[in-house]
Amino acid sequence: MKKYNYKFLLRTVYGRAYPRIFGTIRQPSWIFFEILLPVLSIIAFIYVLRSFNAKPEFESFAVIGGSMMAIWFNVVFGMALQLRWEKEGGNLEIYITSPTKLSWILLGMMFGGGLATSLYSISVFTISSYLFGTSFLWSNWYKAILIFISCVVSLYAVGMSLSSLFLRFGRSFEYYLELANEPIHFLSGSYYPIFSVNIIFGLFCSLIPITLGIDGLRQVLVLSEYPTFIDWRLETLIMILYAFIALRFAKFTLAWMEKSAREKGTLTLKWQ
Amino acid sequence: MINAVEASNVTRKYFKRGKKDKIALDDVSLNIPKGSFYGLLGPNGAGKSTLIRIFSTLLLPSEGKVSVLGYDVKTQASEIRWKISLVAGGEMSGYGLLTVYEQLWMFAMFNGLTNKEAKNNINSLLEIVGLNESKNTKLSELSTGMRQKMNLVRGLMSNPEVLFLDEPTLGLDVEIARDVRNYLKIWMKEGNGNRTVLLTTHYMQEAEDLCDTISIIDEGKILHTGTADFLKDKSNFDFKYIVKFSKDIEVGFKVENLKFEYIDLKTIEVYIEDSKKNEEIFNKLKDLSNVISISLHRPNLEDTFLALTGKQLNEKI
Repeated sequence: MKKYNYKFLLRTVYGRAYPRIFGTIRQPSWIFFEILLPVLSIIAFIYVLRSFNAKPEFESFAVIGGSMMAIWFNVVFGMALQLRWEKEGGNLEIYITSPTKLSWILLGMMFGGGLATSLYSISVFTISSYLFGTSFLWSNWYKAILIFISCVVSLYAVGMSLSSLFLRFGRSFEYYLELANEPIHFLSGSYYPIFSVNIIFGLFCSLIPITLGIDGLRQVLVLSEYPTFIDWRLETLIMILYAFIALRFAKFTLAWMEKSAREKGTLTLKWQ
Repeated sequence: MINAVEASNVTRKYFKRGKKDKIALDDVSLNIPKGSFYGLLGPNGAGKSTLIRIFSTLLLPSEGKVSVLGYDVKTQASEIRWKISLVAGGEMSGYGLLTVYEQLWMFAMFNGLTNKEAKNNINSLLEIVGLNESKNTKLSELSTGMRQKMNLVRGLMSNPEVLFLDEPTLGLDVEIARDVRNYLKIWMKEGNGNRTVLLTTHYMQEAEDLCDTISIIDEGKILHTGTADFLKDKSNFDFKYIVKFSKDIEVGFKVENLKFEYIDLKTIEVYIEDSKKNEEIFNKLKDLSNVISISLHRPNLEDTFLALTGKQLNEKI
């Protein structure tokens, strides 16, 4: 019998990442939905800021926040809801009956989704910065990359741990997620420095990894007079910790979901 | 003989809140010998798919014990998954933006095949099922028949020891269904007794054509198991005449002292329980008005199903 080794893990991850990367790029609509719409949203915010004569650093905040929100949407709709979509598309039963592990397939989704989303996010950032000539501390690029990667990994890990719960609890969760989008815009501080409101509020919001990612990027990329409460290094560490906990939790929820779904007969659409 | 699949006293219930439990399988026991082409024949809702989903580790039995190649489906599912494949009819799996080759390659990666193995197996199977020309076609552009051929390649490319086919020719046109059946026969032959297939179908001819052993299943119970010839002997008659008329048969039509069933508006089947009366019945039938042909037949599996359940296997008028 063949064994579960790292080669099999890498093949599974690459196999599932492939449609995420190459399949998505073949569909030109991603330029509109993943790039142009977020850029339009940033444009709107920047004109609002300019109408209030806000300091230029706020424009930089808006560009960073708007670029990072693209990741949030992709994590929610591309990762957390993925298993349910796979079930509806008839793929889940093939995944389950194949010898690979479901957690490895989800890692592939995470890897492929993370790469594709990073491309979207960096494109939104580049276009918006160019359009408004926003200034950044480019010398800190390596710190920004570290924070960005930690944020993407932690968000996708959270999405991975949620995916089996969403499969188990069904369609109603999709509506709750949609309802959560607007509050997440506010709580993540996507268009303003979160710790400038209130430290307790900022700490509460930091439970969402994207809040830490956006705040960390602002610390290293924008020269600002607004104080911060958590240093970007600690924020990066917290995001890595989030990723670690979420991945462990995902392993547990996947095993529980599979057992429960085999008992209840909810892995397939055809139940008879 | 070693069994590829063993099921004893398997019951499967579905629970629906506020509703009575649905019993999909009721105390089912069956053994599928290694190397056999085994058929489960029954109408829609008989429990065929539930049984195949238990064998392929997608479902757990509510009661009873099931093993595949000696591994228990409850506790050793991952061992079983190395050795099986499941292909279902009407399956729309895959991603529309990928090509046929890319899609198969992706599933090959999940089955632990190396890149080289995947390439060789996919290319040779695509050639055999006649899909080689379409290997760079996107899934979203495939016809239903082509898609089902691709699903079959997916099921076979990992060279499974046990192949589960759940209504594999459902919705396919006659020619493609025949191609699929022919290729399955070749695949079994090439396995030299090391491959086992469990086919579920409600097409009597398909079961008769492919399977060396058939179980008839209805309302979650196995009614009879045996070869097609053995099962045909379980019908209530020795022969039947198929009588065709030039015009639609009138409402209330009767033939004195004879049992018959409508096939369609212009055709009936007349059952002969005593073969000595063949000639007498034939004479009676040929005197009926508007008759254009009368042919004599042995009973088929449809007749057996009717005898065992009092129901038609496939819907008629």
